This record gives sequence, C-alpha cells and structure tokens, in this order.
Amino acid sequence: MRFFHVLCLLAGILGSSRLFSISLSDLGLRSEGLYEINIVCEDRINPNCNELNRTARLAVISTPESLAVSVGYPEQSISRYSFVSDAGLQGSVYTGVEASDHSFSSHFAEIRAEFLNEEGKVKVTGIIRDARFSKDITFAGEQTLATQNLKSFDPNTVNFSLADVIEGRFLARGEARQWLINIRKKLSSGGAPSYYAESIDLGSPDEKLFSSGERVHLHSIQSSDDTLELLAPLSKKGSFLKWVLWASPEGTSDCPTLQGFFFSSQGIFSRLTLKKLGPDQK
Amino acid sequence: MKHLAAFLLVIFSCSSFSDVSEIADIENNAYVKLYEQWLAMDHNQVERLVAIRDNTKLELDRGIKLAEKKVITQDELEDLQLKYRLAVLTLERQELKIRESEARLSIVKSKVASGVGDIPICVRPMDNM
Repeated sequence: MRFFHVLCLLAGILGSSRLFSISLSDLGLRSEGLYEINIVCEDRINPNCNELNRTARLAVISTPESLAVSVGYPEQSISRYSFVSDAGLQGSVYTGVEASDHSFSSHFAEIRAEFLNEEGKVKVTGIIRDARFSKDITFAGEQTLATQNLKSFDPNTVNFSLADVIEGRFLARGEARQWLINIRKKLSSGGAPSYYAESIDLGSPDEKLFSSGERVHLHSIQSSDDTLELLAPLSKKGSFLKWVLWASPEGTSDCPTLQGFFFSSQGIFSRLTLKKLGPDQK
Repeated sequence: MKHLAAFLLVIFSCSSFSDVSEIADIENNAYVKLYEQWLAMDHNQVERLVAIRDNTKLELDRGIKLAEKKVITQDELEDLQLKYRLAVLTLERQELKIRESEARLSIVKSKVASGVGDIPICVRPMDNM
C-alpha cells in the first residue's frame, strides 16, 4: 500500500511537470519559446550561404495577430529572418513568410517548420527557402526555453489580486539589468482590462554598468486575473519583445511584488522580479 | 518523500531553461564586443598621450630656463608653451572620448539585455575630429 502511494505521488509530480505529457494538440502553446538549431546551407554559388552554417537560435512568439518565428544568431543582435503567419500552427507544422517592408532591398524567404514531441522535449526541423540561394536551407534543433514551463502562478499561494496592484511603477530586476516600468490601464478598456507600459533602463543591479535611460513601450495583449502579457513590436518587422508577469507569493497587498520573464525575437531571455514603488520612490 | 518530490520538481523546472543565459548572451554579443574594443582602443591612447604631455612639459621647463639665459627667443618659448597646451588639451579630449565610448557601450548593453537589439553601427563623431 505504501509502495502504491509512492507511485501515485511520483505520477502526480511527473504529471504536474507536464514534461512527459505533451500531446500534439497543445504544441501550439508549448512551441512558444527559444530553440537552439543547426543550420545547413549548401549553395556554393552565393558566399552568403556558407556563413549561415553554424548554431543559430529560433524564437517563437505568439501575438494576437500571428505566430512570429525568428531565426538569428545569439552573438548578433538583429535577427536574420523574421517570419510571420496569420494561420499559426497547422497541426504540428508552421508555414510563414519573411516579414517584408516591401522595399527593393528586402529579400523574399519562407519557412516551413515542423514541431515534434520527442522524449519529452519539443524538437523542430524544417527548411527556409530564400530567393538568394538556389538550394533550401535546412535546420534541426530542440527547445531550450519553453515559456509555458515558466508560468508558475498558483492562486493558493498568493494573497492579492494582480488586477488590484498592476497599475503603477515597479522596479523590475533582471539577471544583468534593471528597469523602471510604469504600467497604466487603458482608458478604452472595455470588458477585459488592457494596459500600456513604459520601461526605462536603470543599468545593472550592482550599479557597475551605467543607466542608459533607454525606453521601451509595450502594450498588453492578454490580461487575466492571473497573468499580464505585454508586447512591443521591434523595428525589424515581425520581431517582438514580450514581458509576462504574475503575482508573486512573496508579496502582500500592502507591498506587492510580481515575478515573470521577458524574451524577444533576438533570442534574449531574462527572469524578472518586480517590486512596486511608492509615489515618492525613484 | 517530500525531499524527493522537491528535488524532482527543481530538476524538471531547471531543465526547461538551463541552456539560455542572459549574461553569456550579452558578453558574446558581436555589438557589445565591438564597442568594448573601441573603448579599449581609447584607453590605449591615453598612455601614449600622457607620455607626449610629460615630454612637452620637460621641453617647456628646459625652454623657460634657456629663455631666462637668452639662449632661445620669446617666440621659441611661446611655441613650446603652445605645444604643451596642445598636449594637455589632446589628453583631455581623449578622456572625454573615453566617457563617450563608455556611454555608447552602456546603451548597446542595455539594448542587448532588454532584448531590443536594433543597434546601428556608426562612425563615432569624435573620430573625425
């Protein structure tokens, strides 16, 4: 009997972690995140092809209008490709076109990526068809960051509502930088409340790196009692920055704290801890 | 049993993002490295400019003594004074350039760390002076 209880407990743990219970149907949710992929480009005519042959990062960001897939390199800031698709994920297959600014200098490219559940991990394989190359670029890799796994909100551990505290100024601490973020509810909010926000760079938490004062403007795309998702389109069309926030168990209604993370099409990710600032605090 | 459950949960949750490190991304970023190299080049210049300033100061001190003994003319002394002032100004301008480079590096790091990353490469204005 004791052994049976142990088995039940283990099954519960494994079930709650969801790592071993991914079905193809929830791949849409599970696919959002970052992937490490190996790119192979074999066109010998165009020398630009050969420089693609290295480890790249694929970022999947879900927006209200589209599923955005970007392919770039961790050591470079600007994504090499940013694909958008109105259809999103069709079963396990994503088909997107390069987000173009319709100028003569922007090249045409398409992606066909298949997301697979193998051994508890989401893997991706596919091709990129680029008008500059006579052969398709192939890629394969696996998910290194699943945003769905990070959302650890548990209503039983939190003693305040996110909606009650979300408006205002917060000090947001990341791994390497910190920001002042101001969140305001939109006047035009109808049924579900929606918000816009401005983040200002405050340098590194240890104050060794200067504050640059860089500002990023975000707007909410999804808000519930539990989670707030903020999105900022980046200057390269089809690229996005997403912040996801929820109430932290460490906070109280008098001194609310939030936790969450951000990640972007550039493949940058950081966990966040937010502390609400009083009206007089900088 | 609780310890085992906690251990398993930690292992599973850690495995979902263990391959992504924000700090490593910033340090390996090509733009951050480029701006760090520019800053290092600016720092390297300081040693050379300090040596030039010290040398012109020695020449000026010697020139003052020679001018007192009427070995060199007033025009030649003023020329040495001008050279020294120019060396001091060049060193001050270099220190200004370093502060500007530090500010640019900070902006680049903040853009990369924020996940924004649209960084234009441009000729630094002080390079043309």
